[in-house]
Amino acid sequence: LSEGRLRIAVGLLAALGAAIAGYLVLARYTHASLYCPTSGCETVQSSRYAELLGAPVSVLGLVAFLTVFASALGRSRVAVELGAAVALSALAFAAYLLAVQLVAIQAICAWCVASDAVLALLAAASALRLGAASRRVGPRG
Amino acid sequence: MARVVAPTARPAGVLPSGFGIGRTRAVLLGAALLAAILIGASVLAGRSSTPVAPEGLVGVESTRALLDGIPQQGITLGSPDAPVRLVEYADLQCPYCADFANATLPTLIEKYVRTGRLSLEFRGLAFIGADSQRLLRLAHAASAQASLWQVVELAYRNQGAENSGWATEGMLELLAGGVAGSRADALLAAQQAPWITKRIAQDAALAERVGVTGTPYILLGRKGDPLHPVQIAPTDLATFEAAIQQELGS
Repeated sequence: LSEGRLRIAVGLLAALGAAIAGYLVLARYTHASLYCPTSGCETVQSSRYAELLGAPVSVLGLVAFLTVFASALGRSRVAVELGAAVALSALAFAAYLLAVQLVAIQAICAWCVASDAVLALLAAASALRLGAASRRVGPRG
Repeated sequence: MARVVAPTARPAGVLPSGFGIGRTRAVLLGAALLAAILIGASVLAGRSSTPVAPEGLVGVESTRALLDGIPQQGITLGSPDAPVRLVEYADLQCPYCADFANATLPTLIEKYVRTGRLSLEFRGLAFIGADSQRLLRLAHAASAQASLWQVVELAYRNQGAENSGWATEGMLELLAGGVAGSRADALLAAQQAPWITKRIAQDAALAERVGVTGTPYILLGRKGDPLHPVQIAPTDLATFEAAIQQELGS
């Protein structure tokens, strides 16, 4: 995949992820009921794992997706590295939270799983972009 | 004497490959470090003692699996045409009631209720304390959504110490969310309804007439016949099964 296509993929996936996280943030602060096909969304969103360092995890997710989206707007090496670092760390954290849902809370939040799926694709695209950026450097002098 | 090596010419703006790989490794290390910090903070938050239930709410999926597909109406679980009735007087804070719910009821529900041979009735009491009253109100509110038994089972699976104040607003919200999902708000809003107050008073009066002296207090009998109390240890599944079989065969 070319750098241009990877940038577009990263941007679209980050925007999709931000939309999902944004919905969860909106529901959180307006106390609106979540549409939830698995019926475990409220349980997960109201569990103690739904907050981290005083902030809802959905807010952290939104910030992460927006950061990666911003990184897709730039072509610099730093932008690529920042996007990849955020996407990969977010993927690892999301995997941990999925395990928490299955083991500790014993409820599944469909929105979180959807966000995880988007994040997995986003991390893959970001990693490919990072790999392509490192290969663009020339042979050792 | 130091040797001076002339640098090899390379195109402007192109970095040595070793430099690129080093930076990639640094990015991966940074990502791993950030993830470790987030996970560590979440694990610490999960161990916090502020919320009541030890790890959010446990047993949501197992309760759903146990009760899904079984008809409910009001306080009754199971087919209204079931030939045998089991009526339980219980307090949601009572640990022996939790033993009965956790050790015995799952098998009875699977073998007898799901197959249409037994119906269960939950007569909730709140004699232990304020936490009992709050949980019982939520259970009755859930009866309007045909999910009283989900609240009862989940409350037992997440039972706290008697009268420790464990039935907080947060706990009730967790239970409501675990049971009703997106309809949790409606369930929470219904808790103070006058009909619930009336229902709790009626069950307390009934328990007094029946002669309930402790919980769980269990009555068993064929549909249409007078029920009789059974004196069986809450975890003695085999004796419960024998009593039900006897009723089914009689």
